[in-house]
Amino acid sequence: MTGGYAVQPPGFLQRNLPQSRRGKANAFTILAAIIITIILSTTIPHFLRLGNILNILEQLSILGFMSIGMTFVMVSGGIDLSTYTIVSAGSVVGATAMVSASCSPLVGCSLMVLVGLVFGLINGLAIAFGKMIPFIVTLSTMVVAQGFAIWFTQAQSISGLPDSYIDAISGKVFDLIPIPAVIIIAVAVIAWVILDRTQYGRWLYLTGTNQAAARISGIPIQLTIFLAYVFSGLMAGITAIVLTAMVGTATTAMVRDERLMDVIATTVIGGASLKGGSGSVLGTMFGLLFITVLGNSFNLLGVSPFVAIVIKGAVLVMVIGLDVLRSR
Amino acid sequence: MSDGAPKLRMSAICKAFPGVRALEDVSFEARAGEIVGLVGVNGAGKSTLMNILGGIYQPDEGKIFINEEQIVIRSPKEAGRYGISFIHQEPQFFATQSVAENIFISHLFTNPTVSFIVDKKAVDREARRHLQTLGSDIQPKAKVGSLSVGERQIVEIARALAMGSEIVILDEPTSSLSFKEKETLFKVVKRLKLDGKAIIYITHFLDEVLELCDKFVVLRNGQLHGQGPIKDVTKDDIIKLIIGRDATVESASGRRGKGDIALRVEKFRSPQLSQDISLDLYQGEILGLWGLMGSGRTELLRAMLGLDRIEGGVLFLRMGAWTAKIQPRKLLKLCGYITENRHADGLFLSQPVWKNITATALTRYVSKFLRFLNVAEELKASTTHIQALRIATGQGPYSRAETLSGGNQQKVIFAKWLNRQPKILLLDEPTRGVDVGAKMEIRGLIRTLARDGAAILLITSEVEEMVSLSDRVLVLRGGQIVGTVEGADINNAMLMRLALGEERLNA
Repeated sequence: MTGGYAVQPPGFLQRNLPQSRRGKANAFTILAAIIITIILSTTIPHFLRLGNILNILEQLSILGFMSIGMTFVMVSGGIDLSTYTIVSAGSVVGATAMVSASCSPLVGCSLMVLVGLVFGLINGLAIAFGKMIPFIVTLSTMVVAQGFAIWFTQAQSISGLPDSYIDAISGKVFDLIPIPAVIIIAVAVIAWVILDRTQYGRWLYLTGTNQAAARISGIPIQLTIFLAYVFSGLMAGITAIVLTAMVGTATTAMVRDERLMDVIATTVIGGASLKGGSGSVLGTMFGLLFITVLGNSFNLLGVSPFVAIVIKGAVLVMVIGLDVLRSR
Repeated sequence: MSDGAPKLRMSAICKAFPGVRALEDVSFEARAGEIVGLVGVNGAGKSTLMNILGGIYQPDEGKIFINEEQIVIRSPKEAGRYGISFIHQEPQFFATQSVAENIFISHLFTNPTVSFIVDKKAVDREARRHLQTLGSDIQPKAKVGSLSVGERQIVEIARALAMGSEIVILDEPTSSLSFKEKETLFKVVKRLKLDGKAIIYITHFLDEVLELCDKFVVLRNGQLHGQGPIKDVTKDDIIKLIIGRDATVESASGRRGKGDIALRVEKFRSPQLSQDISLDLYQGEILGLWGLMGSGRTELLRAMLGLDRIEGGVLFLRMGAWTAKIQPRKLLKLCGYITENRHADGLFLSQPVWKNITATALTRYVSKFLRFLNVAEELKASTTHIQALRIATGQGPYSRAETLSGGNQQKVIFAKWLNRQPKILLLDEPTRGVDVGAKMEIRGLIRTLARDGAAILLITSEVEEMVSLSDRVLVLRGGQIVGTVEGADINNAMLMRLALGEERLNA
């Protein structure tokens, strides 16, 4: 730098960790996760075992793809409620191709991604170019994708997927690291580069921060918003590929309804704001860890899944509430 | 006009804000059935005076009397209780509710037997009665959202009647009205007068004062500079009072010669402009667009940039040796455009300064392959601008824009456009809301840019700024160009005269 500034640039962590809109690091989530991890690791016998950690990583991947997609959408100032049913739609189409039409796994996986892209495209067109409200559009797409999956399969689940496909995804690298964990890390790195290092990423932040200013500055805001939803659809497609192999069958309800709340919680804890313009991939990964560890420990502690949902909901409201309080 | 005691009397009102004496010893009165025109330029103290009457500010000194009884107005709610109503330029309503419900929003009629049920029939009937008093044919059942701005004002006036107001204040009511709506509004105001209300009419359009008002009150720099019956004065007299006798002929020296045409605007027409507008902008020139708020100055800029719908018009831009026809959207991508309101569409407040500065020219920092950003280059360019414009930031380029002072924020916006190295700069109120020091710096910067060959179109509400910066001034009034002023003619008095509508030069 040529400048004579005695100012240190913000470090990597400072730029990427969960932040409120006011820019203060969201110490609460970091602290809470550390404390919870310490408590759990000392009180729950199996928590810190390698097996459990890898288990967490694998669980995390499914939520992770959707949350990364949601991060893009939330940075643009919108929301995408449809991802989790698009996963089912993609899953049943790809699985049917592989099982009934004996297509190769490559074709099957491409179809899953294609279905994700098509739904993302519809969301993007309606919101960016049709200027419709994201909440309503994606709520409708959510129902449409669900209905499509049920119609397509006549509500039957599809099993008998090719072994080559299931083995490729649910296998392990060096007999240790689950493939889904490798994929989520790769996807996260790519998403981080896009959001933090490319022109498109900058467009997304600027558009989400102030649409009017972005428009006057010559940024193609409609294209920018459109692509965020397409990306989210792509993430749904990738989720379908990984999840279908992990489960071994394709059903019309691949992802449970309450996972939608997990996705939103993850992204918001990671620093994204429903007002747009903030959020980051690293922050989202952090929120992901938090939510997954929380769920995992409920599991190990034998907490009823229904109670777990209630607690997770309360945590989400608390985190958002603290964020609002701090930015006053 | 009725005789007897004045309905409202404000006596020796003084009000100071930190660093400004907003009002000094201002007294005036309004009688029932009388329309008082309150006139003065922006910042003369009209709004402060009316905000005191509306209970928003407390006067430092002075008394307020209603029917010769002294009162203290502590809040807008109390003002309402004393029968004082404000009619706003763009009234705010519950758009999805009916006209009648909006009129009676604070005291809906309830069913005589079941008190929590609204008696819709009674509400509609009463609303219709008040609207008829005003001679308006607005339907009480219509949704407010479907009404025009002018009709909403009438609904607001009806609401004032329904609340039993005796004193009605209209604040610049015509600035967003069409010609026809204006006539309707005048009829309504005259009805109010017949109904025995005391009316205070704030405006800077003198024709309206002469047509409508019985009395005028002139404020200048927070002081009373004349009042009396309208029939005793001419428009010229009032203009003299508004501008002041000491409006000496000030004009900047050393006007520059013209370069080539940088931008030609031909026959622009839009719903906000009452006539086709054409102008030429030369290289190295500062061309002022002068006019009051609502004269069409901002609207013309937005139309030129394709931000508002236009009904016609062509742009020619200099490209090297000749000019070529371009689309308004294209101009937006090539020029620099400082907007009127930096928070609304100027800054990315929650983003760091460097991301603000490079936002308009991102392509410059992008790799051919996959469009990666060269952040180091971005920071370098931002730092250069921060130093050149002496932008004070806590953490250099890393400070978020919202942490800067107004003047520094404005400089960030300049840096944002200068980073694009534009040949044409459109400036809408470039020094609004910044401190005096920053104002001087920004004016210096504008001059330097013009000297270096940029073509600059300048809008400002400050007459001194217009006079000291412009090489040539186009005066707009009512959506059309009413005069072109050059050289020594660019002075306070001439600009005010043209804008207020005393005379007309051939454009």
